Amino acid sequence: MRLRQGLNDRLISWKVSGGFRQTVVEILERGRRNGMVVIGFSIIATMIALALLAPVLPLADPKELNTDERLLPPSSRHWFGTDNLGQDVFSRVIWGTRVSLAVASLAVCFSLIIGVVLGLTAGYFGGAVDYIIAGTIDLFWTFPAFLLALAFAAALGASLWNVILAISISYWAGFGRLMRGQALTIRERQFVEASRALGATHGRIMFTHVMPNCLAPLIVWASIGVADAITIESSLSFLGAGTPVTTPSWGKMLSMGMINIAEAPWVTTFPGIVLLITILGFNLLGDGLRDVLDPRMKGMRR
Amino acid sequence: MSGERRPILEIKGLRTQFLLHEGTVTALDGIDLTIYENESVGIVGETGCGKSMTAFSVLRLVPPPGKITAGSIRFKGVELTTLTVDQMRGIRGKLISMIFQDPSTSLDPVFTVGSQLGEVISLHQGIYEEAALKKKVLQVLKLVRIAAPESVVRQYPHELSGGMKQRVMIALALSCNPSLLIADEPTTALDVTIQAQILNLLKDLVRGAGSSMMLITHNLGVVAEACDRICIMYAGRIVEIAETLDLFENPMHPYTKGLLKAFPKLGEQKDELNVIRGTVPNLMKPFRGCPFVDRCDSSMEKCRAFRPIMLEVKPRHFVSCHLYSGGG
Amino acid sequence: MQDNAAPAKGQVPLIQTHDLQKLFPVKKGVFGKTVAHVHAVDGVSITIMRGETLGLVGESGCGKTTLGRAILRLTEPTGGKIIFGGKDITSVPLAQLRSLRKRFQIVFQDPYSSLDPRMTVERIIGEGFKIHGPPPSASKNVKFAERERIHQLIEQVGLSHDHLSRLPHEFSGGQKQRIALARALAVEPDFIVLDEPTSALDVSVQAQALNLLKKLQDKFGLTYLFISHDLSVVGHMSDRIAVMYLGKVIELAPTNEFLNNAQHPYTQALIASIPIPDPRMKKDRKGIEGEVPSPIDPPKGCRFNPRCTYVEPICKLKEPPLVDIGNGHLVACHKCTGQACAMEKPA
Repeated sequence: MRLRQGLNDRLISWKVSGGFRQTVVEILERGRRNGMVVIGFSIIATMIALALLAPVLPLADPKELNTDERLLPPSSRHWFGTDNLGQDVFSRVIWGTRVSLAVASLAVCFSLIIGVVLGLTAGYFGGAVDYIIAGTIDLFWTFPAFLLALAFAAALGASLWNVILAISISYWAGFGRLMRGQALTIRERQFVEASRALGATHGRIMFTHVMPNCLAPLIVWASIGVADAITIESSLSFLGAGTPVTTPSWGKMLSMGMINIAEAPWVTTFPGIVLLITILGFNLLGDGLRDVLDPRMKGMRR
Repeated sequence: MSGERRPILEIKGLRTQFLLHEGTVTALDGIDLTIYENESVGIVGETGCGKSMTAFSVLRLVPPPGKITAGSIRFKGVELTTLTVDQMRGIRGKLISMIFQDPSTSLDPVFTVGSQLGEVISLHQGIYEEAALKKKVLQVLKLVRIAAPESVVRQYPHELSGGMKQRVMIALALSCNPSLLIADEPTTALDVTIQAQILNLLKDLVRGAGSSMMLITHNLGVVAEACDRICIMYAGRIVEIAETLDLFENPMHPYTKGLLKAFPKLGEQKDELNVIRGTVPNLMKPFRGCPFVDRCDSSMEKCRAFRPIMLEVKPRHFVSCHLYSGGG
Repeated sequence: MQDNAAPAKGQVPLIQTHDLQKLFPVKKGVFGKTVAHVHAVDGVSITIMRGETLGLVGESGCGKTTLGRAILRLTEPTGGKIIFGGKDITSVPLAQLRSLRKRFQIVFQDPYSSLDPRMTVERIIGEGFKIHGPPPSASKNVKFAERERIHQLIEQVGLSHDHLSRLPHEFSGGQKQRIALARALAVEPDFIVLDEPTSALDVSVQAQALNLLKKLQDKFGLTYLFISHDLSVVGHMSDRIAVMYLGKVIELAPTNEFLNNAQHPYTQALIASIPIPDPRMKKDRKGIEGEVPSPIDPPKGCRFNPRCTYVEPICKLKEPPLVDIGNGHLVACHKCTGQACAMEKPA
């Protein structure tokens, strides 16, 4: 009871402290009522829980090769069966969440930082700076992120960090465009001019005023971005350009299972379904958040 | 004055509410108003008092989640609240027209002035033949005193100034000779010198056509000039209705008095403007009694408990206030 | 053109502009060629005295808002000079300008967009301290000093302490303007540009706001430039009034003189156009014919000549200078020379 009360108080004080915390509380309050947010969030929470708990769950060693037990169908010992190297599919699927989520979140994180900084600078300053940065954004934007990632990954070699790097470089343009557009709109608002009139420096205005007002679409985009990043990582792994062979990655599992898909469909099916659900979860959350944070929903009209 | 004239619009007990999940907002709380033939009635009040909502309710244009929850609106004897959507469409633009505050947003930017006017005229008057339609369009534009109608017809809305656009709006509204013109803050977005022109135009046209006008505004100066009778609204209710001169010379409701005093008048050098203390009440909270009670200097016990009813305290001068309800 | 009017309220000039000009280029075509200029402010020389309220009126396109911003260098002037407190601030570099900014502030017209919707009232008002340093206080603790001053300010504008932790959207228009005012006052300016501060407010709320502005002016000895299109409000608030038309000041006089003895035909028409909340005053409400023209490449000669009922040949050729006709009354019209104005009614 006291915990609940304390939490409640914390939420109320966060609601009025403006900026990021305010957005979080808004999401919590309104998100609760939105079906997509609830479902999406549940899926993601489950995946995160699995990822975090993987080391402590009673799972078979995902890397244990056991040539005696190759391509066994699902049974009470191996819930999802085994693959062509004798590894337990169920265990690999669960361990795979760590790879997918980690790679995707870090990649989105880096993309976001690059994109936000560049986009904000371009939109806020305009002129020549904008011209150059916007041109760069457009350049990266024209190429499908997946192809770019493939090219970079192939060039850099197969390793987890290279995959993260490859995705970051390919995906930042989306955030850049978003922030640039937002910055262009918000810098025209009167409170920005008021800040200038007070004598604020450009840096102050950008990070204290413009950025916090762009948070809503950024959060939506980030959520969908994670879904995209998971897709890209899986595709890269599927093609062999992603994570190393032994690391449990859903994409890799899909590609390995392709060979025996007729006799042992469970090797591809289970990772495939989990991949689908995870991506769906992030997409739902992103769409739901977009509805929730849409300013048209705020307040009533006179 | 209004003795033998027939009523054009009779609003009785109109209640319009917005049903939100946070609560219900009562935008209009029992409005009674009658507008007669060939007269201009001004509806004056501040933001949120319900004046625009009255117009939207008459035209059944209340945006959801709002709806008319009680009362009757009779136009020339026909009950408007029970008409079907198609029937209302036949009335809007033809028998009752409306012009809005900002002409920039009311005109379609991708069509020329001529084609927009033409569309309305042909729809409501059934003129489809091109030459006849063009003639009617030019005629209407000349009526609103536009200097070069032949070139304006070919122009797009963004090429016109605010005053010109408003004239086009008026032309659109009056093109089918409506019996009632509702003008919602028609001059607020315009420059002062143009305001004068547009107000004169409205007065002349409405009078000339024998129509009636409901002029909604927050500006007392505008109604003093353009209206025969004035109706003062506060918090979704009508508090006073009187003929123009009578209202300014003998305001009765404390809110009306306060409003008149708060208006800065040219040439009057005062150090401080009269202020009505307090703020408008929250329309989401239902209240018994008079909504003005917390801001009124003459409030009494019963003002909090009982809602004052609208009484004809003097011939053709109505007030809704316990100070005049006799007894007490 | 110098403003030689005898000072009205204060005796010391605080702000002077010399031929201040702001032109905006109009670009057309693929290469962005400049084809014309918007003459927003076209050679304005005025003096604002310390402690007074100078009212600035005019219709859309006359340049009054641009003038207000140009004086503060929120838009950079394209010509002329600005002297503030005896110092030429026209080309002072940006870094130096920023620290000067605490001496002159602005309150905008639209209360709904002039406050950052994501900041609490406390942070909004206190922004000036984060930029210019904490207010002087007996206490050594910076946070405490800021807190204290913010509490003081919120009271001075008539709001209460528990409003400080709320967000802008929870307030009405009038209250938002008070917050904007508190923000401007926080840095202790000498001069405030009030750009249509009450135009978006209801009449009764406007009355409260105007009373507050007057009270604070008396208390802190502030100087105001009150920009508005509403002549009744300006008449109530100002010591002197100036009228702008298409980028130029065409008349300037002490308030009473202005309202009772306006000489320029445009000013007369402006005063005549105001709807008076009194049906007994029936006036000649003919007003002016024609539309408010565009400030792109204005007419030759006197800018008002296309709409003027007293127009003469000279009006189309030569721009009339701003002349002093006595009592601190300046007019720019060919009919006004020396000490008198000869206006005959048109045939």
